[in-house]
Amino acid sequence: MIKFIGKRLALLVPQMLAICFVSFLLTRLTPGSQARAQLGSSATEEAVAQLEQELGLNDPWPVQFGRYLGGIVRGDLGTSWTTGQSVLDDIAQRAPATLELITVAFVVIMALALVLGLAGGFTRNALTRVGDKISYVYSLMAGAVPDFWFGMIVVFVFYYTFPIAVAPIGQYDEGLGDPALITGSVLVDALVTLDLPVLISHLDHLILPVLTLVFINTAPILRMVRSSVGESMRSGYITLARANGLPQRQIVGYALRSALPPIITLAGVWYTMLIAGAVLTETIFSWGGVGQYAVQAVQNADWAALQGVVLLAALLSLLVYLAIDLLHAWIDPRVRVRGGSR
Amino acid sequence: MADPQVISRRNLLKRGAAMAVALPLLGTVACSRTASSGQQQRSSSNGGAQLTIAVSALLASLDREFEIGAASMEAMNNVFEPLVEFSNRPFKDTGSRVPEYDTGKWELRLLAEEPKVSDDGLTWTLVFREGVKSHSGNPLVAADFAYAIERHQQVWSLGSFYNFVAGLLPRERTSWKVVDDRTLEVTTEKPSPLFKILLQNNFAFGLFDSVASKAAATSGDPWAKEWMKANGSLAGHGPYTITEHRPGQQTVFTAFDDYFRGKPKVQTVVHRQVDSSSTRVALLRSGEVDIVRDLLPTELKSLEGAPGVVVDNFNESLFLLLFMMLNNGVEPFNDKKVRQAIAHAVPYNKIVSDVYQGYASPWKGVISRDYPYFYADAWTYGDGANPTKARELLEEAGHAKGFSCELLVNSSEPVSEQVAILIQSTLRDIGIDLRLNKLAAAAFTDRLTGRKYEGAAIWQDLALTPDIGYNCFLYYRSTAFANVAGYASDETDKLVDKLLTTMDGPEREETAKEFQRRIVDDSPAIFLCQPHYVIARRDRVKGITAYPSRTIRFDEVELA
Repeated sequence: MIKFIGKRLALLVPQMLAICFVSFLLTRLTPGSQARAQLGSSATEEAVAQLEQELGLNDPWPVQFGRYLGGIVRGDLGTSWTTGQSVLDDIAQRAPATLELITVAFVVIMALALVLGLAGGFTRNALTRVGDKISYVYSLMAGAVPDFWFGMIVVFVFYYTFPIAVAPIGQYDEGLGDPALITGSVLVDALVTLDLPVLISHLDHLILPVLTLVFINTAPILRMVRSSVGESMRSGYITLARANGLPQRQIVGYALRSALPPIITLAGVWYTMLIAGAVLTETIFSWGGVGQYAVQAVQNADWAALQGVVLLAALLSLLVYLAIDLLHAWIDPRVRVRGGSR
Repeated sequence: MADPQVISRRNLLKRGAAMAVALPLLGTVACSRTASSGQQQRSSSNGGAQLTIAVSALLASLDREFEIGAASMEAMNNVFEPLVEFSNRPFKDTGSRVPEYDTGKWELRLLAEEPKVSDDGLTWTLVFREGVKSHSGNPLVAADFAYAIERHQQVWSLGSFYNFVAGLLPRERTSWKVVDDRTLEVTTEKPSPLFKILLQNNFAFGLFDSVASKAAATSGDPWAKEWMKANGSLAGHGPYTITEHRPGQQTVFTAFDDYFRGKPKVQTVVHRQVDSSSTRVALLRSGEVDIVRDLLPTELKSLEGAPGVVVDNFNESLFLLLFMMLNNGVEPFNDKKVRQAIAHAVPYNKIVSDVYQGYASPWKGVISRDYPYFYADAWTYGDGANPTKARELLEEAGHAKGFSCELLVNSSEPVSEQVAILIQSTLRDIGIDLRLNKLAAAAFTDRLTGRKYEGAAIWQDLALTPDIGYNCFLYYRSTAFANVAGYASDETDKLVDKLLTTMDGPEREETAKEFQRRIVDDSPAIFLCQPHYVIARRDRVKGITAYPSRTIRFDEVELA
């Protein structure tokens, strides 16, 4: 198993290198001059040319790429011209907020999908058939509704029309002061320091963005759990187990083991997709995470910031896929055999 | 035997199920707290002398040498004190105000006396106020102004434009002479009508503490550019200092105790970043924030009449200009008749009524309607919407069957896109097929300013200084950077140069009329409309003035 993990970790290096190259190339091909964006429409061509020289934008692209890679090795992702700060600092400040938001949403999505999906998949009666229909309609709705639109509706209904939610700005009430900075995640830091006022305010602020992400993203996983479990329950070995009079609990266990791999794969992929989903949700709720940062970077041709966000998203995706592989290997020993760990 | 430290699959499922039950419970607990917490936050934010403004983006820089957005401009106008400021008068009975663009009535701020010019019109004498301290505690001296214009000259970025239009001496020569601590003389190359009016423009001739700035300079950065971007607040003399700036979240401005005109009434002003305009609307309705801007016309309409909300639709003090720029350097727009045909076809009133829903005025001119010397009689296209005349001109130009070209739109300006769609459908009737190309702001600016667009572009720009020479140079001088249409005419260049060097009077007025007549006839761009400055605010907020920069002076605001 350790060898298997080692091999997968070693694969991360060329993958990251390739992603660095592609993100570098894409940002260079994207229309928009960084120097012009910094200086604006009233600046002279001379001033623009001077700034391009200072930024090294006139160097051949292999030289620029080499300089960029050298910076990454030294832990320097460049400076964001829109915030005036190091990109690494900017991302370190914002990434915990995004990761926390998508992780909490993901946990709720998985909890709902597993509870409802398993209930529907294992039991067939009138109630679950109604549940099937509701689930189908909900899936259609959730698939058709854009997340930013749903976020706006949620704000309108729960904040303005029926004022039961807190103002959809930020992660907690600024008037309470800042929580001690340990991990950067307000939830974790407030829990660790037992800062109850901030913790409660933060949970209040989490509800609407999490609700938005959960509503939009639960449907596909729920349907996958239901169909995967249902398929297992209809398989030949379950029929055999039933015919042999095995207890229901044991039968469910067998079915679940067989149903888990596709669910885990989809869940992992969906976690990485939540990063993209969080971009607009963060914008609606002014969450202050990397999603908002990425949008501003695109608008302002802030290439250093954009490349930093792409690298973070890529690294996170690769780590999640690694975790999926490890979970697969753990659940299904055949994966380890094929992976060559024995 | 199983290792007790390793989680078995069965245990994993059990724990997963337990979490599935526990998490919704946690959510329920959180929900139960929500209502009371929300109410508490709203009431606390409304109490005390704090003004909260929801903005779409926070300040990016306090260095005026670089491109700045609306929040940066507002920050600079409150951190840095202007030399003079326009006086103002009430705007209807709204509690808000509009400026008077009469240099004879303006208020002296950092200047102690009216600027005087020598008999030959070349040397201006500025006398600075005594007893003014910067946020770093250094006294205001004449050398601060000398440092500011020298910095323009050496950094040679945006400041180079201001030095040029003000008529200062060429870059290699020194325009200033410090007479004593209070007095400075500035020399221009030719008589400059713009020098005086530019004194009110904080981005052209705003002052900052040269001692603090010089102390932050390094050998690699002799003009302290990096320091100024983030820490420029320390060099200001204005009514507010920046006490907190968290990119992506908020900027906090705190009243400056030693402000020379007395400490401002509002102690704290917060710029809160709220990216989504619909969220800004909801926050204003609930009273969570006091002022919002950058809303869509439909959102503004929805706020009119909302309880506790006032929408200031400033249909005076118009400085924003909406153009449809035509690339005069490419076919078919290198033909004046084609440009005139479009000017006849565009439905100006429909843009104002249907797209802007009354939050804009028809322009019908080439400089802002509120500029001195605006000449309404120069306009020859009436209300537009005249396809018959447009077809005639297209036929004369050899384009009877019309043509197809690109129309660039800036994606960060959603109203511009609506205008573009309206124009697209109108011009289709005369055979012109416009292909909409929506670009991110940076890409749009790059293509527009580099004149790398194939046809037309919807572009809005703010001409900050109410002077015809300033405006005409900016957009129509063949060598100007903002002449994004690529318009070039020797005759109009001569008229622009004359407007930049002729002092106010009948000669300048006649030149201004002739210039406007020629530009309307040549129609290098289509002058679509003038969007209003619109502020949506809680009714407890009074005293907002519609300055040309479309920024709020926090020290003028009163909270009921």
